[in-house]
Amino acid sequence: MALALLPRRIFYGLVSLAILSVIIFVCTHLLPGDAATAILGEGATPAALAALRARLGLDQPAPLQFAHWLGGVLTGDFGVSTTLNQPAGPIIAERFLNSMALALVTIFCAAAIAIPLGVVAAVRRGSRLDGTILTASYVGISIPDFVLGPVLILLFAVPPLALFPSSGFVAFAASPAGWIAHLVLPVAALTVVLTAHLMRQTRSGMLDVLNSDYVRTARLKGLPERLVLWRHALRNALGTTLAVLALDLGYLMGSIVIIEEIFAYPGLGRLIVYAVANRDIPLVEDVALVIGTVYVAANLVADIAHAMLDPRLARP
Amino acid sequence: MAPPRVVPALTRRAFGRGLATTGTVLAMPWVLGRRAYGEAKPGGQLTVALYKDLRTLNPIMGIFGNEWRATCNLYNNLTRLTAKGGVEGDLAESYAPSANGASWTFTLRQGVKFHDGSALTAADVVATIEKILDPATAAPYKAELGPIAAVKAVDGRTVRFDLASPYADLPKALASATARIVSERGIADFAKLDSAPHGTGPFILKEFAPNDHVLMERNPNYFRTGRPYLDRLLLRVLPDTTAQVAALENREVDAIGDVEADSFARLSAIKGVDAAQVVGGTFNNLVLYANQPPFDDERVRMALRLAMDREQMTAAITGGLGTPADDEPISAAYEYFDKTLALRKQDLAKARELLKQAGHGNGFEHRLVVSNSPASREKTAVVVQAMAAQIGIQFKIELMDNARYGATIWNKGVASYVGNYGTRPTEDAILSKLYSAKYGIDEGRWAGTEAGKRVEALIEQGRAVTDSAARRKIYDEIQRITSDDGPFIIPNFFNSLYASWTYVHEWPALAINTEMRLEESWLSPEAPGRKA
Amino acid sequence: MPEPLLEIDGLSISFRVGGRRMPALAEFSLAIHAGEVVGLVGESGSGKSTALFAVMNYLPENAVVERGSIRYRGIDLLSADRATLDGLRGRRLAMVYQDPGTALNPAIIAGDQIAEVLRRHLGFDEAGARQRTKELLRLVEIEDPDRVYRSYPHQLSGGMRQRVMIAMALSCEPDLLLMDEPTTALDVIVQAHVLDLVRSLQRKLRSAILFVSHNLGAVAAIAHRIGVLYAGELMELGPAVRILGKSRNPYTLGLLAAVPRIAGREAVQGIPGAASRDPQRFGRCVFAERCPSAEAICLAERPRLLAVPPDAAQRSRCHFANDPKIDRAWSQGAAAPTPSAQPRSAGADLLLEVAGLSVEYRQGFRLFARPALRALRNVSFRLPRERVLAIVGESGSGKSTLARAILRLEPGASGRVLFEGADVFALDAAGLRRFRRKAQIVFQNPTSSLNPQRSVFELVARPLALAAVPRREQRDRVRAVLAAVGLGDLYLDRYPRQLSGGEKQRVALARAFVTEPLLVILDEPTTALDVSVQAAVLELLAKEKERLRCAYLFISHDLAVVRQIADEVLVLRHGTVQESGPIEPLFEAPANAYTRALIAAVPSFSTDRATGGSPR
Repeated sequence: MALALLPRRIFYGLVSLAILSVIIFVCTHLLPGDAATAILGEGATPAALAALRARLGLDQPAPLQFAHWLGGVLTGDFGVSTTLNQPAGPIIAERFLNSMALALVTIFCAAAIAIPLGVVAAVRRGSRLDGTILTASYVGISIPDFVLGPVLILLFAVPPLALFPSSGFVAFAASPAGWIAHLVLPVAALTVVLTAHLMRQTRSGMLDVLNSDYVRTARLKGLPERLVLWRHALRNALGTTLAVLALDLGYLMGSIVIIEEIFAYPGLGRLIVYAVANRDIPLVEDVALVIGTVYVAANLVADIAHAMLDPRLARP
Repeated sequence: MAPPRVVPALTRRAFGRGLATTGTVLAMPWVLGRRAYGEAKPGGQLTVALYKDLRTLNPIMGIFGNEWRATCNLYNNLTRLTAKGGVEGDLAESYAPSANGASWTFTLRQGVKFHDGSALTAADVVATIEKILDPATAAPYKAELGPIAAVKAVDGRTVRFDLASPYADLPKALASATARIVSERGIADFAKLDSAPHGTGPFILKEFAPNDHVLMERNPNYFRTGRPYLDRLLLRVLPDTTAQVAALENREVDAIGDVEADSFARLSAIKGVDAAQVVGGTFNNLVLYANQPPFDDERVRMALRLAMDREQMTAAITGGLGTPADDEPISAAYEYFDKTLALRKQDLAKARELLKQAGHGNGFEHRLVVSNSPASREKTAVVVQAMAAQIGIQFKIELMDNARYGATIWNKGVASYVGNYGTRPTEDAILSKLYSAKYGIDEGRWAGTEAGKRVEALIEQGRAVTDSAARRKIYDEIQRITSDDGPFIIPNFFNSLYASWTYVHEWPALAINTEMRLEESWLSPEAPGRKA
Repeated sequence: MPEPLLEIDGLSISFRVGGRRMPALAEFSLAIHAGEVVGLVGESGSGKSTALFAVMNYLPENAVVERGSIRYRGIDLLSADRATLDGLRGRRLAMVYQDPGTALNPAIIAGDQIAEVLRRHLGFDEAGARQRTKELLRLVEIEDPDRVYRSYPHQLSGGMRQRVMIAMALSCEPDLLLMDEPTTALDVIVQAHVLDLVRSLQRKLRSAILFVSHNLGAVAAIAHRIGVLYAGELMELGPAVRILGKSRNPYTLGLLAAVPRIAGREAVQGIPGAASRDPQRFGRCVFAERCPSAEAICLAERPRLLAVPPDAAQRSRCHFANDPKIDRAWSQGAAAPTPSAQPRSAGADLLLEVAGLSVEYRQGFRLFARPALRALRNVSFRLPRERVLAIVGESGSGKSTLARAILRLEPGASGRVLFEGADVFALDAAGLRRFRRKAQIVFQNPTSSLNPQRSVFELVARPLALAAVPRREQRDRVRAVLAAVGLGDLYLDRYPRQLSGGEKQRVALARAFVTEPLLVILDEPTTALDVSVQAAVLELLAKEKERLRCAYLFISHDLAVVRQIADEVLVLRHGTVQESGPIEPLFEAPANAYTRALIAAVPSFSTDRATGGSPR
C-alpha cells in the first residue's frame, strides 16, 4: 500500500465499519427475542414485556432505533446497554483495555517465539530441528483451547506448583505484579495457539525468500550466509508474518471467548457473546464496532509496516 | 480428604418420597457452623466465586441467582427466611394481620440507616413496594408478592399492606429477593439502581463490573451491631468450572456460591474444603400441554408418568445430588411438603395399557424443545426421552439457544419443552406461578380442566387460611392432584450445593441458595483474606 | 595454448526426482580462456543452465554431480568449501541472471546492492564503495547514477535493472562473467542495447564470458566460440563463424533452419518431435529420434565429439560429422515458403473491422476516481477473410488488451468492433455465444490455459459441447482436428501434464480450430516454445489457415516470427498505433522511427558470415 493512499484506506475502513454496523443491527434484529425477553426471563408476561419494551424504547421502529444509536455514536455517545442499564462506553472502554493488554502481550510473546523458530526451521529446512519445530507446531495447532486452558490451570495454578493465579484479572494500576501474574496463563494459552501458525507462516515466508532469485544473487556475490539471512532474507520474509499478526490482533480482541471464560478474563469476547445472547443491541453494536475498528486499524498498521519493509509498496 | 460435610439430616420422613442420598443431605435449610474456633473474629476479606451472569444490582429487575446473592448483602427485606424454613422480621420489628385478614401491618425497626446516611422510614417501604407493583416497572417477580392492593405509610415506622384477598404468606413473600427495601431516593433514581444501590444492608458497594465482580465493604452503621464480621466481600464471576475449582483449591477464592453439580465431587476431594448439599426446590419441568393432543388426554399423561423410574432418573440427571420428585413442584425444602405421599413406582405394563386405551397403542412421536442453558435441561430431556421410549412415546429433541427459546417456545403453547425454576420462599409462589391462570402463567394450559380448576380453588384457599394444619391439608391435596393429573413431568429436585474452606465460618447453606447473606460469616486467622 | 581460466572436465550431473536419478548433463567438457566469450546455446532441458550454475557450485539440492570436475585456476570448485567459494563468487566469478526484476533485492536500494560487493571483496569503506558504485553505474552507461543509486529495483525499468546487475557483476573486475539468458526477459530494443553494452564492456575489461541463451541471434552477436547443447549432451563446439556458417551437426543445422529471420520471408522448418528425456539416452545419439539423417548406428552407439576439418577447433558429436549427407538432411522436408500476401480488395470480403477502439481502466472508487488509465487509444484496422494481421509491440503496448477488447472481454472498451458486419458490442447473449464460436483465442502459455483436470478429448471437445454438438459428431471432429495439428488418437485420453510444451500448444490450437472459426486470435502463441517447436507450430498455423480459410490476428513481440506469417502488420506502442500496412513494404522501409528501432533491434545473424564479437 502506498502511504499516499492512507486517507483513502481510512475512508474505506470507515465505510466497512458502517456496513458492518448495519449488517449486525439487521442480523441481531432477525434473531428471535429481544432484550425485554432476556431481562424478564420467566417473568415475561405479555403486560410486563410491553411495559419494558416501552421503557427501553424497543417498541420504536427498528430503523429509528438504529438511527438513534448511530447518531449517538457519531457524537461520541455509545448509548446505554439495554440489559445492564449502564452507559455502554465505560463498560466497553474497560473491557477494551483489558483485551488490548492481553492481545498485545500475547502478540509480543508469540512473535518473539514464533519468528525466530520459523526462521531457524526455514534455514535448517529438512533437518531434525526443523522436524521437531514442525511437529511441535502441529501439536500446538491441534490442542483445542478449551483443553489447553484447563490443563495450564491444573499444571501451574494449583498445588503443588501453584505458581500463578488460576483466573481473573487485576488492574495494572491496582497492582502491576498482580496484573502480570494474572496475565501469564491466558497469555501462555493463547501464545501456544498463535505461535504454531505464526511459526509456520514465518517458515513458509522465509522459505519462499530463501528460494528467491535475489537470495541466490546475494549468495553468488560471495556474501557470507549470516549476511544473506539478515540483510537480504529476513526483511522480505516478514511481510506476510506481519499481515498475519494484524489479523491475530483482531482475533485476540474479539474471538477468544473460551479462553476469556476459562480464565475469567473480562475481555471484549465475553462481552459480545453476553450481548448477543441477551439481545442487547446497543452493546452488540458498540462492541462489534470496536472490534471492527481494531481489525481495520491493525490491518492498516500492518500495511504501513509492510510498506516500510517493502519499498515496492511505499514508493511505487 | 474431607468427606462432603454431613449435617444431621432433620429427616421429616424416612420413607415415602425418599431422599436420593439419605443421610448426607441437609433436609432442611441450615447454616454450616463450626464452633471449634469459639467466638467470631471480625475482619478480613471473603472472596466468593460465582458461576453465571451477574449483570445488575437492581433487586427489582434482577432475575439471576447471582444478582440476588449480591443484593442480599447490600439490602435488607422487611422479613427474612430463617435457617429452619420459617420467617422472621428483618427491617420489620414486628408484623401482624388484621383480624379479617384483609391487611397486614408492619412496624419498622428504629435507627436503621441507608448507606447514604438517611434513616429508614415507612415512605421508603411504600416507594419500593409501589415501584414493584407499578405495571410500568415490569418487575419480573412482581407476582411473588401476592395480592397486594395497596401499601400505605400509617406513620413514620408503620406500613400497612391492604390485600385484594386474604394472604397468609405475605411475611414470607416479602422475604422474596425482589422485595429488598430500596430508599425513596433510590427509587427516584431507578435508572441508576443497576449499579448504584440504595440499601441498608451489611455491606456497602465499592466496585461493580457487570458479569465480572462485585466488591463490597463493611457497613459500619449496620443496624445489627457488631455485624458484619467481614471487612470486605468480593464476589467474582468465574465462568469456567475448572478455573472455579482451581481458584478454590488455590485459595484465590474462599467459597463457591453456586457450585455446579459436575464440580462437586472434585471439590469434595480437596482437603480442608467443606462441600455441602442441602435439599433444594429447584427443578426442571417437562411441559405437557393439557389443552392439546396428545397430552390433553389424562391417560396419556399418566402413562408417561408411569414410564418414569424416578430413582434412576434422579441419579442420572443430578449425579446423586438431588431427590426424586413426583411431577409436582413442592420439595422437602418447603414447609408444607407432603411427606406421606408415596413416590410413584414405574409400571410399564400399566402405562402401555393406558396408552392403548387412549388410542396410542403404537406410541407416537412428539416434539420437545430444549434450551441449551442450564445444561441440566438437556439431561432431563434425554433421560425422559429414554424412559418414554419404553412405552413407545418418541420425543424428538430439538436443542435451542436460550434466548431464542425464551422468545419463541417458553410458555408460548407451541411445543413441549423443559422449564427450569428455582426454590421460592413460599409454596404459593411456585404453585400459583405454574398452575394458576389468575396469578401465574398456567404453564401447562391445565387450569381449564376439572382437576386444574380444583387446584386453582385450593391455591386461593391456601392463600387465605392462616391455620397451619388447615394449610397443610390444602397443600397436601394440591400435591396429590398435581402429581396424579398435572401437566408436567418433574423427575427430581436439585440439591443446593456449596463449597467453602473450613476457615470460613457460618457459611449460609440454605435451601434457597440465592439468599447468600454473609453478615454472620467470619474468617479464622489462617484465612488468606486476613493476611496482607 | 596457455592454461585455461576455467576448465570443465567430463561433468555429469543428474537430478533426483521421486527416487530416480534423471541425468541432465553428460560428460560435459569445456575450457574457457582469459578474455574469451563462449556462448552456450540450447533449448529447454538442454542442461545449459545446469552447467552454468555448476560453475558457481550452486546447484539445486536434488542435483548430484556424478562425475567430472570444474577447475578455476587450479581450484576444484565442486569440492571447495563455502568460505573459498565466498571468496571467489562475486570477486573472480560473477553472474548476471535472466530476470533482473527478481534477481535484485526489492527491499534494498540498487546502489547499496552493488556497494555491498565492493565492501565485501575489495575492502572499500562506505563512502568509497558509494563513489566507486557510481562510477560503475556510469560505466554501464547509466546517465544519472545518483538517482539510480538511490532507487529501489522496482523503480527502475527492466533495462536499467539489467545494467545494475551487470555493474554489480563487473564491480570487482572478475575473471569470468557467467551470463544466464541475460536478455531473454527484456523487450527487444532493450535487448539490443544490453547486448551492445556487454560487447563493448568485454572489449574494455577483457573479462571472459560464459554466455548462455536459447537465442541463437543473441549468442551469435557476442560469442567467439559457441557450444550447442541438446538434451544434456554437447552436440557441437567451435568458433562462432563456423558453428553458424559451417555446422557439421544435424541438430545445429536444424536449429539454424528453425530460426525465423527478420531479413525476409524464408521457410522456417521445425524439428519434428521433442527432446528425449529418457534417462538411458546417453548410450546412443540423443538426437537420433528426431534426426533425418539417423541410421542404425545412431541408435546403437554414442557418437564422440569428432574434430571437423580443417582443425580440431570445431568438433561435432555426430557419427556422420564429416559425411556430406548431413548437409542435405533438412532440405528434403523443407516446406515451401508461406505464400506471400496476395493484394486483395479489402471490403469485399471483410471479416473484422475495428474502428476507434479505446480501452480505459478506471481506477478505484468513483468518489476518488483518478484519471482513467488508457490502455488503448483509438485503434482502427480492417481484417479481410483468410488474412493474417500481426499486432506487434513491446510489453505494455496494449496488444493483449486489444485482443480481449475485440472478444468483448474488456469492460472499459469503447469504439466499434464489427464482425461480419455485426456490432460485437451490441450483441445479445445468444449473438455473443455465436460470435465466440466463430472467433477463438489461443494464449501464450498453454500450461495455464489448459485445465489440468480434463483429458485432451474433453478439452478439445468443450467448445463443441457448449455448442450442443452431438456426442458422436464431437468425437469425429476432435479426431480430425487433432490429426490436423499433428496429434494422433493416442492423445485423446491424455492429460496436459503428460504433454510437452509444444504438444500442449497444439492441443490449445486444436481446441480453437475445432469449431471451424472464421477468426483466430493468437496471443503470442509461440513465445513459450522452443525454437524448433515454434517453427513446427508456425508451419501448422499456415496449414490450418489454408484448410479452414480463416483469418488470424497474430499478436507477437517477435518481429522475425511475424515476418514469417503475417500479411499485414500493425505496430502498437503505449496503446496507440505507430504504423500499419502490408508486411513487405513495412519491414523493408519502415516509416516510423519506433518501427525502425524495433526491426533494427532484432538480433540477427547470417549463416554465411560471422557477426560475432571481434576475434581474439
